[in-house]
Amino acid sequence: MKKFLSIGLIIALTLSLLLSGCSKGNQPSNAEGKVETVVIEVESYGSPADSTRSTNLQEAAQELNRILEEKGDNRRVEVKVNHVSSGYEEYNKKFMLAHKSGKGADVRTISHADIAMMAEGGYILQLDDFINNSEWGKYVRDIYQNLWDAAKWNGKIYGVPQDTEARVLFFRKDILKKLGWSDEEIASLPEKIKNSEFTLEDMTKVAKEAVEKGVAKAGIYHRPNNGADFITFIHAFGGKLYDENTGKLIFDRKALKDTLDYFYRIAQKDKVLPSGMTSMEWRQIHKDWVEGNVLFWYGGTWHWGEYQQVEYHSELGKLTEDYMFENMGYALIPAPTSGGKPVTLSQPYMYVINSNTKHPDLAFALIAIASQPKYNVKHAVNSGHLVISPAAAQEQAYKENKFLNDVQYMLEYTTVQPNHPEFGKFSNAFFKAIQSVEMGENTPEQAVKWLEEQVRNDIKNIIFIN
Amino acid sequence: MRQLEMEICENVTSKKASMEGLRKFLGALPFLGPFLFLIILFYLVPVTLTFVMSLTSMDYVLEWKFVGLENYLRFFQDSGVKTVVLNTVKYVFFTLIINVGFGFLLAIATSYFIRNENIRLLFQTIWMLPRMTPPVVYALLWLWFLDPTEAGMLNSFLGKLFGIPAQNWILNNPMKVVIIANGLIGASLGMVVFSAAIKSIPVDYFRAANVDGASDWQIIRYVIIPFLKWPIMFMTIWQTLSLITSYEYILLITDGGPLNKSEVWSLFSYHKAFSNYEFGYGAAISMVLVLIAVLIAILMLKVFGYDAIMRRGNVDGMRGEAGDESNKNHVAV
Repeated sequence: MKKFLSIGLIIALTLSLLLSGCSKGNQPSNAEGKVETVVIEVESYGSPADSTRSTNLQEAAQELNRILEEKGDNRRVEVKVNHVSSGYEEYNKKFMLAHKSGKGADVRTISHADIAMMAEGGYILQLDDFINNSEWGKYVRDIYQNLWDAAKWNGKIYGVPQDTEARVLFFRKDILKKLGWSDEEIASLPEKIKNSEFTLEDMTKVAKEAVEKGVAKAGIYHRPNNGADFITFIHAFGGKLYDENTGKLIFDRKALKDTLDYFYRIAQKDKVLPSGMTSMEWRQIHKDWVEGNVLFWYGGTWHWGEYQQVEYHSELGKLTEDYMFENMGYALIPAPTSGGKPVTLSQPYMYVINSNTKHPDLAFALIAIASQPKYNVKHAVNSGHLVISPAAAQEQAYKENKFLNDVQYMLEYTTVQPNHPEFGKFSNAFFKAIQSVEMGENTPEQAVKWLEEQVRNDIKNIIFIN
Repeated sequence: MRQLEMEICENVTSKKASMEGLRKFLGALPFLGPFLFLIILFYLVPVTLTFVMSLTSMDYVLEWKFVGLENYLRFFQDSGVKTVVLNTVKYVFFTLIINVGFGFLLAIATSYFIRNENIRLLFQTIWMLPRMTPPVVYALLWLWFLDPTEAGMLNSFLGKLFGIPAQNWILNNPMKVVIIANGLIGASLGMVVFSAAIKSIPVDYFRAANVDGASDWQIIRYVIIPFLKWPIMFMTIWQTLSLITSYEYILLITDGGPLNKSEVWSLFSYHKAFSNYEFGYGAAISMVLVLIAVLIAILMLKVFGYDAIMRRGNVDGMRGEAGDESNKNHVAV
């Protein structure tokens, strides 16, 4: 019996020594000055050209680690990235569900339009204190004020602007030449649009001429699914979507009717836009555009980078910038009629921090460091986005980029979508209304009526104006 | 005294009966238990949770705020519900015709007309391909096949052969497309069930019919169809219930559009919950659908005679029935 007891005791002692050894080896203690590796998970959304949204944080981690070392902080940051290029709704839904089980990426990039929903839902951290009182705040204070405004919900900041862009009207120079336009006329088109000397009406006429003369397969293309582009037109037609005083959404009947009228006209009357535009595949749209089958394309500045990085052209593959400058031009969205104002819309992307994160200080430090001009310019130049601060705009690499310099002025004409948690419901229904008029299923009057019914069903607090 | 004896006697008998019932139940438990557990886990628990959620205003905040029957009242006032109900009826009815009708034709073609076992298997396997293909791939194949540009397979085929300009098939015929896409998947299941049933018909009946000079049509009408009465009923009930709640192919091919033209009930619930983040309202829409599905199931089982389907020795009865039918046929021939 004694023998058994002593054997048992020896085994227990050996095991406890082994286990304690394992424990020390795996979890170095800060007190002993050993390095603790903190993994920060980052997920970003955007086209493949936008992957710098997350890889910039990986690079920033190296700089952060150097700073931490200098400070004598034993923590070191390792960044794991996941860049998602399709299904923005899914991207958010997965995070929301993961968040409820205490998980989800520590840092994410989201559209500013989702700040309200994420903030009200408690998914993301309020950042005012970090920005104003932390040592890392100095890296972000230079960011443009209008971008900070887009990061707010109920007057508090919930995101750090990551980039911005402008929705642009791209036009094919080669097609305009075939229509008899001179080089000077083509070169002056953006300026004419800026001065409202070339309106949406003029644009439709040119598009119609191109289709009738057979120099373009289609006059105009727009995106095939719901997105902020369509909201730009409500602004172009003078519509208001949000009342700052009451914090309520606005249903502006006249502006909505005018916007739907426009899409009805170009698809059903002038037939310069395919009536089945909303069922086309993204790839086919890009292919048609880069191959010169379409005269006008309502795209975004980021497409400039995308066409140089993704093979859409069946012969040329990725386009060179020289080819693009030679064959493609870009301008603001024209005013509806002369005397109106041209517009664009920006949808700044934001870095946000998961409220479940165990390391909010390091997550913010990482974002702040990645907001410095050198990182931001790299992303802007690669992806065709606009920078977030005046300092970044002064960087040599940015100034040397002709395209970005050309479109920088558009920020003076820009608008944004309202930061309201229920705006998504409105934009979903509005897209369906556009689809219905383009297909000829509804007249613009019927579509506005249908839209109003949907909005009354889905949104509780909305103001209706005529 | 006698009455007391009788009462005791009755008590003993009823106790014996209940003991017997308990013994039978305990005997069956090892067999029924696993399924009972799965039904509770994957049906009763989700239904209960959905019901509780339907009484809340759960939205993007994902919190359980109870609002009573508010979501149900909203459902009955929602202007979109009428379109959704009509679409669902259309979708279920016409897809069912393809599922059962076309499945039946395929079964006849592959199990009656094709005598060579290898060729029969080859055809049946080809028809089973859509069912073996993951839904996303199957939906993508339809999207590519019906692409609205000249590059689309159908458009390019029709354009080259007949000079027909490119059509926007999905946008112009959303409901027809989803019915056909779903119908072809369901038809393969019908084909398998009906083929098995045809194969189980004793060959004597076919021989007797041939001797009597019956044509193929008469054999199908008076031999095969009477034998397939129960499988047809089973497939009709099964497919109806499955179609009422299915939406994955519609979501992938048309997403309910354009303009709610192919939005069916279950997809409507999905969109409210996962596009608009109205989980409470989406759950209420689902609960109404669950109730309707249960009612339809009870109604169909009553109409088709559940007891008769389940009756022991039914096959013999069927043979008798089929025999009677063929006898009538003899007279006619």
